[in-house]
Amino acid sequence: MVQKFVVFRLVFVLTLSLFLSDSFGQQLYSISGTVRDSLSGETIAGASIHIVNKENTLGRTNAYGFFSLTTPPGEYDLNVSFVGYQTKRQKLTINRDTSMVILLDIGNTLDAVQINADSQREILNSSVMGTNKLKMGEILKVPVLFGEKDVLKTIQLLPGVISGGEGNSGFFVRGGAIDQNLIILDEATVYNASHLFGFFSTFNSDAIKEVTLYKGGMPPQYGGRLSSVLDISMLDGNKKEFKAQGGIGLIASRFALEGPLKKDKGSFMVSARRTYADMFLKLSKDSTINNSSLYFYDLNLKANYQFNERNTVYLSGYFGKDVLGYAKSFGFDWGNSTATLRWNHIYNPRLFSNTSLIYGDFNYNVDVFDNDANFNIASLIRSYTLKQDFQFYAKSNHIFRFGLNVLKQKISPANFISRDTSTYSSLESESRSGVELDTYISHEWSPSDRINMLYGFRLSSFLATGPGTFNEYDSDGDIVNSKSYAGSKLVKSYFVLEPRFSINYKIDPVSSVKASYNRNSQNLHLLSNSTASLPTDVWMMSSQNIKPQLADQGAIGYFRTINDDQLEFSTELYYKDMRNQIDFKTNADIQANPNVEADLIYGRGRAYGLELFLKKSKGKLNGWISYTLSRSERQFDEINQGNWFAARQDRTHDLSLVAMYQINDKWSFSSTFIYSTGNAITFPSGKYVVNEKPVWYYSERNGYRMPYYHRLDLGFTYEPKSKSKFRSTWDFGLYNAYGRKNAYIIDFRENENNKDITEAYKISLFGMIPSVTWNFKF
Amino acid sequence: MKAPFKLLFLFVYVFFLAACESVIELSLKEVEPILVIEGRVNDLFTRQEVLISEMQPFNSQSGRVPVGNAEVFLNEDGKPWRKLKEVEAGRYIIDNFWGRPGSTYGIAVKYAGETYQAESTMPPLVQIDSIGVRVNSFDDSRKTPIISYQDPPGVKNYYFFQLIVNGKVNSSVFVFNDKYTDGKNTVQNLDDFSLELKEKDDVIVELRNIDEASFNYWKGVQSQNGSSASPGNPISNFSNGALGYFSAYSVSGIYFTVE
Repeated sequence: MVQKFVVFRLVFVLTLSLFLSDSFGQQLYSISGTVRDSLSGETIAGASIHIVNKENTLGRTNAYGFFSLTTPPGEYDLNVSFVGYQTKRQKLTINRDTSMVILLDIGNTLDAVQINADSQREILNSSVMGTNKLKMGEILKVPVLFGEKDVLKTIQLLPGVISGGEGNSGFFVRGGAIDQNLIILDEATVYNASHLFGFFSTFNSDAIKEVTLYKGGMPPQYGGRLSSVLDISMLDGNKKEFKAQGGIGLIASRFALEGPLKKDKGSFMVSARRTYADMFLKLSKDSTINNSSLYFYDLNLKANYQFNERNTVYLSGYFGKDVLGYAKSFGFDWGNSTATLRWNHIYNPRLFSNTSLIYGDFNYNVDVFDNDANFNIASLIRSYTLKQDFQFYAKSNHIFRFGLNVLKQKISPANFISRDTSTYSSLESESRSGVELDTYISHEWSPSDRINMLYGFRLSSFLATGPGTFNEYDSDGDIVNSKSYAGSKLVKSYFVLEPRFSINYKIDPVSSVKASYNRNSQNLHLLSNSTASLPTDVWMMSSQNIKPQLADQGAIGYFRTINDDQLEFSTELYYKDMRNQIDFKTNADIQANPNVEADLIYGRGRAYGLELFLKKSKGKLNGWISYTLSRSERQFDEINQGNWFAARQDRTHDLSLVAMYQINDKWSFSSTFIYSTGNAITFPSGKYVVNEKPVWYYSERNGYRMPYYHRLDLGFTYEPKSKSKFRSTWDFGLYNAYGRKNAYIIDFRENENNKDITEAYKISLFGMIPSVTWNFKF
Repeated sequence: MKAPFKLLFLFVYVFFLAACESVIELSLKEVEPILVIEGRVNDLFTRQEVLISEMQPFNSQSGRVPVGNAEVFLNEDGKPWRKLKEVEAGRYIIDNFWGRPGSTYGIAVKYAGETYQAESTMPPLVQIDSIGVRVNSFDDSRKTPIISYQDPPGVKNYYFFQLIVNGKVNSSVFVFNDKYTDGKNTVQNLDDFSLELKEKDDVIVELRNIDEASFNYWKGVQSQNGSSASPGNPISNFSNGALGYFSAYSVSGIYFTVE
């Protein structure tokens, strides 16, 4: 008790002194404002604002381009810089609180990826680690399958991130599972970020402003998943003039339009993409084939309006759908929609607030029309979220961030509805509801010129609520307790305190060391028992049986810039401990099983690794080398006699090389090379025959390896000179340039000619695949 | 229920992927051989049969390795054990032993100082009502049998369909439960990629009413394919680590010729 009191008093005194320190000493004024692109009026997030010849006053714009600094009265030089933009130096006389809009000019187009020295140093000054930011410029240059530029495939080239499979947009971060990544688009959760079984992502590159991936050391405002946060923001739209861009590619066409709603006050952006693989089906003479459909589309919308200096409203939405149909007998569609309404309010130059109302859903529908099999299967997951976030810039240049999230989520699992002629009976499962209630606070400050730190915590709580009948199971999967809950009565609650901490120590002007620790929890779980990610995978919330997944991650890193910021090098070492991980009993029945929780088993996980990253962002030759050496293991009492085994995504070595070269002002070249150890996989060791059928005997889980994977992709971009406003480019790509036959699946069978011989065979998906895309802009 | 997913994969494979397939060499671990027992009791014949063999390394080039000189016993509803006789290596039979629905059967196998035991209860008989041939909607040269039967309401039923084509036991595994069809007049399409019926083929379809343990066993066999993220061994109902199954089932059969 006494101890508790001491701790309490210490915290109190410390906090008080932080606020009080503001009011002592000389008069201080705030410099606040917004940083924007001079041509489009788009806000710039992450720009650095530095008061020259005054140490320790490095500010950064937040996600809405807002910044706030504190300084005594005087004359100053303000240095504002951001990747790809010309650094701006501005003289200022400060004798009162000053608010301003700073416009940055884009860098010389020829060196569009040229990075400015000051902003480069952000990696040395910020305490945030385990983070990678990608600009659309970089994503657009990386060659990909079928030429469909893809955010999710590009992040797979970063250290600590590995691909979900050949041509797949799914990804694993630092040994975690695919469902442990939180993917948010303008704050809204995108439940299923892939199209066509993962070969494309739901993010149309035309609509995206920038992408930030947090692999560890997540700031407390993020939570809900164990492995990573992928924060994607959509373009706000040009505030000055109307612009259009689009493209015609092998797989899809795109078109985007943006412009002012009212000049310098508000703008909008609309972007659409649709694939046309099914157009080829139409060419077929076969009536069942030419009546079939196979396509997806994406629609992104965003609008914003600045009512006055203090109030801005943003509205953004995304709708996407995949449609598969086979004549009149079979239909299958699935898709996400999200909507976000945000209100930025600046209470005073030091207090920035954002309020968001967010909607997100994912659903799928299967229809089979046949005389005796005539049914519909439908499933939906939906959430409503209210987020309130405050950023307080104290006079002593401490930044406090605190807020509240309330998320209400409902899952309607696959309902099997039989229609009249069908010989099947309907099978409906109960919906499940839950509320996630999170609060957080963080404090960022620099105790000295060399040290920068961010710490805080997130209190996450999950409430499983009725209505519904909830069962508890014993280890045999038998029901031991069954209880019905009416209305939205509380069934079970979980509270997790998640400490977050990161610190940066600047050794010298070119290098720094960092350390971080974070705990994350997760209350939404995706059950998938196949190697491919399918839209029909089952979502579950935490319940009496499923406890929140937990991860504790610690990391240390060394960062430096080399050769006058020509190169940027970083290395990180991480260890992650995971609890309440989920796997399946043998023969688990996942689909439309009201007792699916009886088929689940729970265990532990651990992942650790070393990441190396070298990036060059200046000059004609750009790109990066990324290498990860890692392990990811799981332990379940029911699997492999309780011994630790390699997780499927355990790949010892993972190497990516990305190079982009500006040949001349018309041609540029890009290339990626990937090498990685194969996935851990379960192969049979023995065989026997029952009922004339060969049966395989597996001696252990994931005891084997897929063959190692490597691939080279090439891309060329041609941009003819244009005198008018209309500009066009041609992208030529070659996926898998040397036609490596990487194994996608390895399976086993009897030899066709001699049933006594059993053989292994592999299926490879893509050989050399050329692509061409024509892009335009006006 | 599986049908839409199968169709889906077909879509992906046919229209989307230029997939290519090749046989590869893999070096697989050697494991100690394990006893495999296949025991069956049905209500169709008065002779019952038990097959005993041994598991072999995956890369072995021989077929079944029979295990002789085992002692095999069967009993019904706890009555005295009756010993089977070995008629050829690894094949043990008993005559005048007739399975009856509702009875519980036991098996005991003694081999190399170890005893392996299992039990199975024969479910009540569900009859095949009718049979037909369906032309595949994706490929009209493919013909598959469709079977209809009346599922008894309110009880869990498990069905195993055995095809015998021109006198040869077909290795396709067709197992269904009544999760979606409880109490319904059910139509099952016995479609399997490895099944190719031609005109004039003589086909016998046996509907075997199996118990839950056997159903789970066959589900386990069925799920051994490359698309599973965690393939496992089918769960045997034998004690002492023997592989295989012991299943008491009631049978309804039907015969037809493909036209």
